[in-house]
Amino acid sequence: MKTILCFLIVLLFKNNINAQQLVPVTGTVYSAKEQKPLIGVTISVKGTNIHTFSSKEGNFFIKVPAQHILIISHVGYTTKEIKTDSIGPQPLNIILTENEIAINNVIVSTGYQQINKESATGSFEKIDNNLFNRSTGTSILSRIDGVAGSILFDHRQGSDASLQIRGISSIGYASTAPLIILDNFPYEGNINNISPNDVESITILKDAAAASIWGARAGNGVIVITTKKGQYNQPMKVSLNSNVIITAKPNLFTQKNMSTSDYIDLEKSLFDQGFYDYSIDNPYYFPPLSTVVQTLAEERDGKITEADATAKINELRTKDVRNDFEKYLYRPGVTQQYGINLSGGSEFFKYQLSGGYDRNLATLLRNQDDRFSIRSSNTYQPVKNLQLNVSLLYTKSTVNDNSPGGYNDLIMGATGGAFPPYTQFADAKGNPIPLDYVYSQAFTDTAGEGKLLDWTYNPLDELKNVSHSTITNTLIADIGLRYTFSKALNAEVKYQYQNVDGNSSIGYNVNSLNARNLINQFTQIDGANVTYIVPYGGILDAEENSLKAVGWRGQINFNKTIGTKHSINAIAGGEIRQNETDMSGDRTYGYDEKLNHTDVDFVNTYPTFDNVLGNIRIPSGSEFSSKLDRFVSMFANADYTYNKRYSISASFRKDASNLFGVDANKKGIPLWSVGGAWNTSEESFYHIEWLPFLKLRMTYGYGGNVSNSISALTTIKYLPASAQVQTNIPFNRISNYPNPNLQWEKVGMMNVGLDFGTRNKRLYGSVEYFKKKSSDLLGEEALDPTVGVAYLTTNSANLMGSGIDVNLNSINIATTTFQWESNFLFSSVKNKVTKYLYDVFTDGYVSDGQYINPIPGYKPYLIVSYKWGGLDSDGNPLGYLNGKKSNNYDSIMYYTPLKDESIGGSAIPQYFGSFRNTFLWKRFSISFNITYRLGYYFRKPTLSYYSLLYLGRSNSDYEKRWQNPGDENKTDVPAFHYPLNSGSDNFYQYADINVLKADNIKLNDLRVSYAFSSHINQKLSLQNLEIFGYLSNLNARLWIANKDAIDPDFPTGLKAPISISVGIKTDF
Amino acid sequence: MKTIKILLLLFVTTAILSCKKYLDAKPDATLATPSTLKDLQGLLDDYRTMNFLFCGGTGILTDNYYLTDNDWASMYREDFKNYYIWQKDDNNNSDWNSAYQQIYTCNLVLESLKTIKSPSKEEELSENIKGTALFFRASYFYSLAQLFAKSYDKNTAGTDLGIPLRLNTSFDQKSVRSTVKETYLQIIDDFKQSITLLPESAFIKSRPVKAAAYGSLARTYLAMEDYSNAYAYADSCLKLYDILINYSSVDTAANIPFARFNDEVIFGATSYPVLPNSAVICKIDSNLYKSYNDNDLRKLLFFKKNQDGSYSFKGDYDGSLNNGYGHSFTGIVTDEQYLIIAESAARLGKTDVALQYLNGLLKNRFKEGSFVPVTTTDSLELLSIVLSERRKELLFRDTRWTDLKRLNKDPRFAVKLTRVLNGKIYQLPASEIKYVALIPKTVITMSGMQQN
Repeated sequence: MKTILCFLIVLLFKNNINAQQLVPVTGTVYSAKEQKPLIGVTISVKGTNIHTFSSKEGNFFIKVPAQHILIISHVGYTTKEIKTDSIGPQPLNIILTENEIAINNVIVSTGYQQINKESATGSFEKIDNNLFNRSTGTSILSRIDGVAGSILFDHRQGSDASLQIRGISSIGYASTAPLIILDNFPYEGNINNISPNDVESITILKDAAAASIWGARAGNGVIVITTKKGQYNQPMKVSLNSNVIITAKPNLFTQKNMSTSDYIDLEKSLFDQGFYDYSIDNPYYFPPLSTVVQTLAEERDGKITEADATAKINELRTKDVRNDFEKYLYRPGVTQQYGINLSGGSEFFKYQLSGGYDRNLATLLRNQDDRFSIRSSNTYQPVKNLQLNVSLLYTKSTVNDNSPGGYNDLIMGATGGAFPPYTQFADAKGNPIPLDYVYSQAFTDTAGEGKLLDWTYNPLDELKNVSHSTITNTLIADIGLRYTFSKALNAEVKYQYQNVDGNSSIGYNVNSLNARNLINQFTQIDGANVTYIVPYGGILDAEENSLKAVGWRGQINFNKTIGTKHSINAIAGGEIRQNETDMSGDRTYGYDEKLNHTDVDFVNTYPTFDNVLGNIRIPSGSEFSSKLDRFVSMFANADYTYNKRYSISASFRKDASNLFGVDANKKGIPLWSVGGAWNTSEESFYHIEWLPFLKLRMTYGYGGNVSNSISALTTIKYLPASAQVQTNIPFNRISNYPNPNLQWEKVGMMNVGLDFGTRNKRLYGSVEYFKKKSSDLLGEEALDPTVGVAYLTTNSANLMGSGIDVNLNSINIATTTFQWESNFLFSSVKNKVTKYLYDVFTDGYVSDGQYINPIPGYKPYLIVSYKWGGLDSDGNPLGYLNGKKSNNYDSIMYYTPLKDESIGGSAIPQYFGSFRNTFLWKRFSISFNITYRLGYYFRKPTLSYYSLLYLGRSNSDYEKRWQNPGDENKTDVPAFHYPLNSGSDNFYQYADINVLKADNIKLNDLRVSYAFSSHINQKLSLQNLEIFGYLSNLNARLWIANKDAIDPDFPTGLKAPISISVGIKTDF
Repeated sequence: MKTIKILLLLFVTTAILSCKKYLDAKPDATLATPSTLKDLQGLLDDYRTMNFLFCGGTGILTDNYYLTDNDWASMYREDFKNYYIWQKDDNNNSDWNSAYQQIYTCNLVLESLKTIKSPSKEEELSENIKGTALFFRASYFYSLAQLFAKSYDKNTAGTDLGIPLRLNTSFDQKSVRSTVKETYLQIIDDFKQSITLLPESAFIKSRPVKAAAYGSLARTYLAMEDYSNAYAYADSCLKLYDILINYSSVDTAANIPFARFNDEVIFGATSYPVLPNSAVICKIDSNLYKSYNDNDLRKLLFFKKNQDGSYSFKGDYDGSLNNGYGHSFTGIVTDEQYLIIAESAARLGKTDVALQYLNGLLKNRFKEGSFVPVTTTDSLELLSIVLSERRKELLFRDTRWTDLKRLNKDPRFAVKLTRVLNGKIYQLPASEIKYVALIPKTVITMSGMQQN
C-alpha cells in the first residue's frame, strides 16, 4: 500500500524534470531469500516522475538526473534507496529483502505492556489507524463494526449497539460488556465522550493469554484503545482532518401499517359494538378520545348530523400522521467533524497535542449534540534513565434531546398508545392543532370554566417548550514515571485520575404540557378565586452525575536476550483502583429563565382538580445515590522465547474488591493463563517455499467477571419518603438476600491459532479455534418461595462457547498502476447453557431471544414458538395440544412441554464477518465492505388486535386477515373477532409461522478517496492531501434468506437512513 | 537488583496490610446490613410491601361483584380468570410468594433484634419493633390461612392441613404444612405477644398499635367461631379507640369520599392488588346494590354509576383512586369491631348489647333524621340483620370470603355462589372443597409439601 502510494507520488513528477544531465543506470533486481530475478519491480527517481519496471529477467534501464535518489520498490519487499552519486559499477545487482516479517511485526498493547505479535502466544486483533479512519462518525466503537473480526454488534439494540467478543460469557447478572482500556487504565465513563480523533489504534484481546492479565474484569474480553503519541527526534508534524456527514430524513412510509381508511372503518365498527362506551363520558378518568370516536359520539348524541359526521370522518381518510412527522419533527441530519493533531519531538522530549470539535444535528428536529476535545501527551527525559509522561485529556460534550420523540416513540399520555394515523399536528397554515392527550375534550372543555390552563397537547409546541440538555465534562490525567535500571530492567509507576461530571436538566416551561398538567391537577377553584398549589411557572428537573476513578499501578518490566537464543520478557506489579459514582437529582417548581423559583409543600396532600386523582402530594423528584467500587490487584506476566522458534507465556492475577465482602475475596482463586507458540517456519527442516511464514500457538487460562449489585450479606436499601406517597415517611427494603457462598464468575478459555503468510504477502492471515467454559455465573436460583424469597442470585449457571475466527488478507492484483486487496473475516460462535439452577418452567415457554433466557441445553439467545396449525374455519388460529390441533390457547400456552414447541434457534448470528475489497488505481482508492450474518432467526412484527385496539399500533397484515370462510386456505392472518380473545392474539404472535430466517449479506459502505499529487502538495506546502467520500448505512441487501424479504435489522421496515460523508485529510 | 526486591517486598506488604481496610468500604451509600433499630423500623415502614396485607385471591373469589364477558376475556392473568369462576389453578404464585416474603422480613427483624444491643432508653422502641414484626407476621399467617386452608373447625382442626409456619430466616429449613389448629394457635400467640409490646398510639396509622392487635384477635376468633373471645377482644379494641365517622358529614359527590387513615381507621393496610377488583371492570352485584335502603348514605358513598347502568365501588378506605388498583382495604377499622360485637353478642344471647352496637354503627350511616333503629328481639332475625349489615358495611374489605367459609357451615346462612360467563353458569356449592385454593405449583415442586 505504502509502496504504491510512494509510487503514485513519484509518478506525478513525470513532466517536471527540466532537461538536466541524465545518467543512464542499468541493473538487475534479485530477491534476497531465493536469489531469483524479480519481475515488475518499480525503479523510480525520488521527487520526480521518472520511473521504469524490471523485465522478465529482472533487468532495468533508466536515465537518472544527477544528485538524485533511485527508489527500488516492489510489493512484499522492503523498499531500497540508492543515491545516484554513489552508484558503483554497472550493471547494478540490487537485492530486495522480502518483508514478510512485516506481516506480523505488529505491536499490540495490552494496557500493561507492548507486545510484538510475532512472539506472542495470545490472540490479538489490531485495528490500525488507517482502518479505524476508514469510516466516519463520532463514536469510537461504531467505527470497528464490520471491520474487526470476532466482535459481534447486536444491531437489535438500536444505535447504541451492545457488542460481544467471541460470544457471551455471562448471562446478564454481571456485566456482559467488554472491558474498555484507554491506554493503561480501564475507562469507566461513556466511551462516546472520547473523540475518535485521538485514537491511534485499537487492540482487541481475545483469548486468555491476551486478556487474563485484566483478571476479574477480563471475562468478557478486552478492548484496548491506544491514543496518539509523539516521537523522539521528529520535526513537528501537523495533521488536519475534517468531514461532513449528511444523513437523509428517514422515510417513515417504509413501515408497513394499516391504511388510515381501514383504521377508521375499524374504529366505526368498534364504536357500533360499544367498545368505546366505557371511555366516552367516563366518570373516573375522562380518557382522551380519538377524533373519529369523538365525532361518532357527537353524532350519536345528536350534537351533529350524520352527514356532517360522515363528511368529517371521510376527510380524515386521506390523512397520514407520518406526513406530519416527516414535515414537522424530522430533518436531514448533519454531522461535522474537525480534528487537528500536532506531534513531534527532540532527543529528550516528545509531544502530541490535539484538538477536535464535532457537531451533530440529528434527524429528529431540535436534537443535537456537540463535543469539544483537547488532549496533550508529553514525555520527557529530565535525567538519564528517567522518563516522565504526562497526559491530559479534556472533553466537553453537550447533548440536547429536545424532540418529543420520533414516529413509534411519541405516545399519547393517558393511553400510552400511538396517535391515530389520521392525526394532524398542524393545519394548512402550519399552526399547531391542539390534541387531547391527558383527558378527553369533553372534560377539558368544561373543566374549571376557563380558569384552568389549556389541557391539550401538541408536539410542535412541546418542541419549543421543553429543553433537555446534558453537559458532560471529562477530564483524564495520566502521570507515568519510568526508571530504567539497565537495558533489561525498568520500573514504572502510573497514576490515573478520571473525572466525569454530567449535568442534565429538563426544563418544562409554563407552556409545556407537563407543567400545565401538573398545575391544573392541583388548581383549586373557589368561585372566582383560583389557587395554584403547584406554582404557575415552569418546572426544572436537574440531575448531576459524577464519576471519579483513581488508579495507582506499580510495575517492574524485565526484557533480556541472553546470547542469541534466549529471550525473556516479564512484568510484575500491583494495582489499586477506586471508582466513585455519585448522583443527585432535584426538581424546582415555578422556574423560569430569569431563575425565579417557588418553594412548594411536598409534605401535605392536596385535593386534585375535580378529585380526579384524590388527595395527593406534589411530586418531589429529589434523589441521591452514591456508589464506590474498590479493587486491589496483583499481576505478573512472563514470556520466554527460545531461538525465535519456541515461546511460552504465563500470566497470573489476583483481585480483591469491596463488592462481595471479605469471604468472597478469600475464595477468589487467582486467575491465570499459560500459552505456547511454535514458529514452525523458523525450523531448519522447514522448506515449504510458497509458505515462508507459519506459526502455531495455543493458550489456556481464565478471566473473571464481577457484579457490583449483589453481596454475600443481607443488605437493605434506604429509600426516601418520596418513594412511598401513601405514608410519606422514609423506609427500607431488603435489597439483597444473604448468600455466604457467593463468588466471582470465571471464564476459562482455550485458544488454538495458526498464523501464516505466503510469499510476497500475497495471502496472509490466521485461523483460530476457541472453546470457552464460563462457570459460577451469577443467575437466579429457584428456592421454595415459602422460605421468603422465590429466587436468589447465586453462582448458579454455566455456559459453554466455542467458535472459529478466520482472518485472511490477500493482494490479488498488484501492477504498477493498479492494486486490488481483499480482507476476509469469518467468525463463528456457538453458545450453550450447560447448567442453570433456576426452576425454568418451560411448559408453554416462548421467547423472542431478545434477552438471555438460560435454559440448560439450549442457546442463551433462543427463539421459541408455538407450533402453528393454520386457521380454523372461523379464522381463529390453531395450535397443537397433545399432538392434536386445538384452539384452547390457555392450555397450549400453559401446558405445552418445551419439546413439543418449535425451537427456532439462535436470535443472534452464529456466523458473521465481512469481505472488504480495496482497489488502488493511480491516486484513487476505492473500497467497500460486504458484511454477512448467518445462522440466526427473528420474529417478524405481527398483527396484534390487542395492540391495535388499545395502543393504536397497526400492521398492514390487517388487509390479509381472514374475512370469509375459505380464507383460511389463502391466509395465515387470524380473523378479527370482537370481543377480543387475548389468548388468540398471544398465541398467534408467538406462533412459529412468524419466525423467519434472518441470514443476510449486505453491502454496507463504500469509500472513495483521492490523494493529491506531490506536485500539488508542494505547491501548497503540504506533505499529504487526501479527499474522500464515504457512503454508510447503505443496507443494500445482496442476499436475504427469508422469503418475505424482511431485513432483520429493521423488522418493521423502517430503516436507518443512508448517510453520505465527504472529508479532507492533510499533513504538513 | 536487590533494591528492587526490597522495594517490591515493601510494596506488597503495604498493599496487603492496607488492603483489608480499603476493601471494607461500602459499595453503595444507600445500602447497609440491617444493624440499627432505625434500620429495622424502616423495613416495617415499607407501606407498599408490609401493608399489602391479605391475599388478592380472596377478593376475586367473592360474590360482591361480577365481570363482563369481555373484561374477563381480556384479563391477562390466567389465575385471576380461574379464581373468578372457582376453577383450580396452581399458577397463583403472587399471593403466596409476597406473603412469605413479608414473613421473611418479620423474621429478619425479630432475629436482628436479638443481636442489636440497644441502649436502655431505646428499649421501648425495640419492644415496639418486635411487636410490629409479630403483628405483621400473624396478619400474614392469618391471610394465607383464609385462602389456602380450610376454615377452622374445632372438630377437625387438629388434622386439617394449615399453612407452613416459617418462624426464622433460614433458607435451609424445609417448609412443612402445619395443621389448621397449629396455624391459628401461632396467629393467636403472635397477636397476643404483640399486644404487650405495641404502643397505644403511633404517629402514623400505617404502624400497628395495641388496639389493632386486639381488633385482629377479634377478627381471628370470629373466623374460628369462638364468639366469646371475639366479643372480648373487639370490646378491648373499642375501649382503646371507638370513633365512627358520621356519614352525613361526608361529601357524597366526591370521587374518593374517604381519605386514607381516616378517623375510623385504627391500622391501615390493603390487600395485594388484583385486576378483577379494580373499579374499572369490577361491577357491583345488582341485588347487593338494591339491598341498601335509599336513606342509607352508603348507597351514595360506596357506589358510582357507570355508563352502562351498572355500579362500581368508590368507598375505598385507603383513599385510593376508585379502588383503581383493585385492592381491598384490609386494615383494622372500628366499624368491623362494632359488627363483631353485634354478631357475637347476638349469638351469645346478649340481645341488648347486639342492638346497642348495631344501632350505634347504623345511626352513623343513614341520612340525618331518617334512621329507624333495629328493635327486634328475635335472636335469629337479629343475627340475620347483623350478618346482612356486615356484608353491606364491609364491602371490599376482604372479610367476605372468610365469612362465606364460616357461614356456609350453618345451613341457615349457607349460600350457593353463581356466576354467569359467556352464557355458561358456574356454581360454587356451600360445601365445596374449592373454598380452599391450590398451593402454587412451584411451591409444591420445590418443597414437596402436600397439595390441597
